[in-house]
Amino acid sequence: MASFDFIVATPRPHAEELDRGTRARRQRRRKLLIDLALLVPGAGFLLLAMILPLGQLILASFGLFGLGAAGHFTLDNYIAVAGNVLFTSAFRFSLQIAVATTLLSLVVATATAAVLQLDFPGRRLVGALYKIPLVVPSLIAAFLVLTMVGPGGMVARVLQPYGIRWPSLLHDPSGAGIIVVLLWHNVPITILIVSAVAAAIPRPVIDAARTLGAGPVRVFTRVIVPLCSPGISAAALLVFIDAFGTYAIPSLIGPAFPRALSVTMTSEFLLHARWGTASALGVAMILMTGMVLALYHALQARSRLLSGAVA
Amino acid sequence: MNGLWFIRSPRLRWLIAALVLSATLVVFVFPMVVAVLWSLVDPAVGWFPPHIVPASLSLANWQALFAVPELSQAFVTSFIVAVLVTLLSLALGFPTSYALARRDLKHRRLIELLVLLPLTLPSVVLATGLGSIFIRLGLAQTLLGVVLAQCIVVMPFTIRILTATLSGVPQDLIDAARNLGAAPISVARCVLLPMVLPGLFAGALLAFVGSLEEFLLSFVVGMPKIETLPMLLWAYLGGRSSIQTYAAVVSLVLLIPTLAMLFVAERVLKQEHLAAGFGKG
Amino acid sequence: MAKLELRGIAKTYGDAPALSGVSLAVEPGEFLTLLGGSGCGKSTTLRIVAGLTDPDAGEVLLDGRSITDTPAHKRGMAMVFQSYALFPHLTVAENVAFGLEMRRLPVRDAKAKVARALDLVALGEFGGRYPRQLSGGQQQRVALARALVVEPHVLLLDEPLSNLDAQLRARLRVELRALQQKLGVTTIYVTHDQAEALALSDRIAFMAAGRIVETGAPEAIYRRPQDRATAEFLGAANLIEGLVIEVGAEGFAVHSPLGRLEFTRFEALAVGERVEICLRPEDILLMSADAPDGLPGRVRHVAYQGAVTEYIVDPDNAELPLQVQVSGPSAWRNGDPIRLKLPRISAVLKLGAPPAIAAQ
Repeated sequence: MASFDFIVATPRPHAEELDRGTRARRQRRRKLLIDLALLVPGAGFLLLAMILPLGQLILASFGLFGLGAAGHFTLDNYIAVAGNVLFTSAFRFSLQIAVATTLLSLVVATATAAVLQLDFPGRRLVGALYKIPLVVPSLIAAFLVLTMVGPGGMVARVLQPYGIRWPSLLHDPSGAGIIVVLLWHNVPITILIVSAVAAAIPRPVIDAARTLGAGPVRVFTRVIVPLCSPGISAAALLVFIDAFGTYAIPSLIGPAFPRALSVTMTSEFLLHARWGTASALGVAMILMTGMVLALYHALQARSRLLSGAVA
Repeated sequence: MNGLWFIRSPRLRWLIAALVLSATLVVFVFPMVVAVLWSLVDPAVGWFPPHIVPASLSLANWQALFAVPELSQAFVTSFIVAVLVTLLSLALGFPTSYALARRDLKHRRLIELLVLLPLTLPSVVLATGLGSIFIRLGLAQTLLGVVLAQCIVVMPFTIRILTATLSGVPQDLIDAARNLGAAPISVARCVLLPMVLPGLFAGALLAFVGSLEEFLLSFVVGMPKIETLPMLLWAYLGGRSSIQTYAAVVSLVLLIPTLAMLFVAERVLKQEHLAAGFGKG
Repeated sequence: MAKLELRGIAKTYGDAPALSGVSLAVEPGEFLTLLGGSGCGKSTTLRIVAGLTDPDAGEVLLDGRSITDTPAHKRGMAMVFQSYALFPHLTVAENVAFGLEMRRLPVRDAKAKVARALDLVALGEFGGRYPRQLSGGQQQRVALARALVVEPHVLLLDEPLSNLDAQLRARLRVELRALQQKLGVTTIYVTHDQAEALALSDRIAFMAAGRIVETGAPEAIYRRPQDRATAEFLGAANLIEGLVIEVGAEGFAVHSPLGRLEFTRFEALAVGERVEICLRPEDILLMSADAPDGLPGRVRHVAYQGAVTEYIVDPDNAELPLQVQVSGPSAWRNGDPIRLKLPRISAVLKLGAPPAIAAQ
């Protein structure tokens, strides 16, 4: 006989009369409560922490909320933003940088990934070294890149005795400095993703192409690139979003005009306390990011259709 | 895709090897070396062009870490915040990860998207929105405010890692524990936690390092009273002044835990858990 | 030692009903086996008894008190899993002690009990090892020790021997039954292996498609199944359709494709009833062709199995191949003429009532 009585006797004189529906309903409700209790600390916190700022942002952009708001629905903020060359040029500047960074990083990453497929001595070392920027936050990346290619950087110093003037990338109105740092920071993750996706291509597919007469270039363009496109677009998405919204780098080495969108938005908020325009800019940023995400998903869906036909 | 078959000549391979290796070293390794040199520059002498190497070295800048109040203050602040963020994000994230890993959720996809949302939102937008709300709540320029703000961008990683680890625990073990008399808390304590220890470890590392490096949210929420190391770095890089030597020291202080973490992580943990934390999808 | 009862248990997953109207009583100290093929609901039933799954309807009663709403960890039962489910991060001794730890037993007492339990399963020296260092059979014994050490009201076993090879399974089967009888703990055992069920149980409950088809002692349920599904699951069955033409005090006669057959009568039968007679292969006798009585037939197939030889025999007067089992090596060859002698004890399946399931 067990020494411990573990039975909790439930006084239920009419237990058998409980119909199927009641018990099932009670269980469902209990399950729901437990699920909710589990989700609230984490997902609930995140929900709250993002809905409040975003909601406030959207409302403020329409003049409904926030410090110094008009108090009624208005499109004044948007009109002010659209009409001010400061803001429109900022938008265009950020877009430029993002597109340039994305395209360049794709090219560089693809080339590097291709080279890494080669078997050469020191390949593993290179494979480890290029991952360094993955763990370097963008601020530090800015510092490191600057020490190398900034106006007083190592490259400039090495070239100086030969009389070659190294162009200053700092505060360059084309955003070249920003792009260089963003590339240093983002190319490794792109290489990682592209390599992984390329490695996933089954060898027999490439062999089949070769036996059918495709030379290396055509294998690359007609087989490898299309099959890599889901991974490539994922990588491109990451890089674009990072480059479009980056703050630290342009705030330090960006030109005075045009300024990056994020820098403009922050200064509207922190310096000028113009919350209305800042939030309108914020909404513009969200819309841009949202559109790119939607584009990405559309491309993914289409490529899934295609790869379904291949696989 | 193993090997580009069309490059056969061994001499060509060696040429490529040399090119790629030197390029990699110049681009990825030299900047580190230069950073270390900058941190060791003698403040009395400086390091100006055309010197390729500093004329004289000294540890003065590193000593400044403890001597200069704003440096030591930022150091302490950063680490305290990092510890708090790690604990909070793991504690808050664990139940949600459990739900995602082991419960039958109706809106699972939606919740997964929600967990990823902090990373897809432009951080400026999140920062300024949060900043303005925190001003109203009185959390601006407080330690708690910075901790909460950082948790938002750190939790997607901790939740993803914990979810991956938790889904690997066999249901039979949980059933056996319940059957043998373990109340839900005991099941978590005696069975779940020990089995997810590697994942917790990975999550803690990611959270800690993520918090140390976090700049924008801390900047907007904490400035000027609460200052973390990245905020200080920004100041030294031209945000406030331009002190290359201090910038180098702060950069290295921030880098060392990160590099150590990667080293440890690669040794101790399984690859999949890292990938779940790092990558997309 | 406790009495366990299930009343009207039902469970549905999505649209498919997994269990409907399952009612069962397990007497104190009894070894009851839930037997059936995959998908019949036996594991679900066990989980409901353990409290790991909640039923949609019905009650679970322990010693007459309802425990349907009692959470799993408060039911005082213990379960042995097919996968052993040993905690990999605990040693063997810590595994066995787990249930005692949950019941807050003082460490000294726990250690003594753990040692006794491990001795019971002949693993006394293995306390300090980890599960991964043990073989499958040893792991299963640890799982058993872990379950027994808490002196559960009911012991539940979910196909515990399925992952072991045949020899080990046979050996552990014997040990398991011996242990259970020695401790006298009420036991519910789940398996799809009818040999196991027949060898171990005091009673068998045969399940199919979420219902209990019939219950009975092993010999009864094997020799005289009440349902066609049971008959076919528990061993080879020769099913002969027939019409009852005579009912006597002790016996009855049917008209069948094999002619007039007579059997001992165990239940009520009426003349004109349609029935199916179930005969087990080992009960049919094969005699040489010049024997004085019996049905003439011809051997169609011979399969030597070592301990027995299995035949398929075609009776001369009907298109009804019969399976016959004879112990020892083969006396007849393919094509030999023989005579069949049918037993007087048979199982009668009433064709009036439809079988519990349409197809197995």
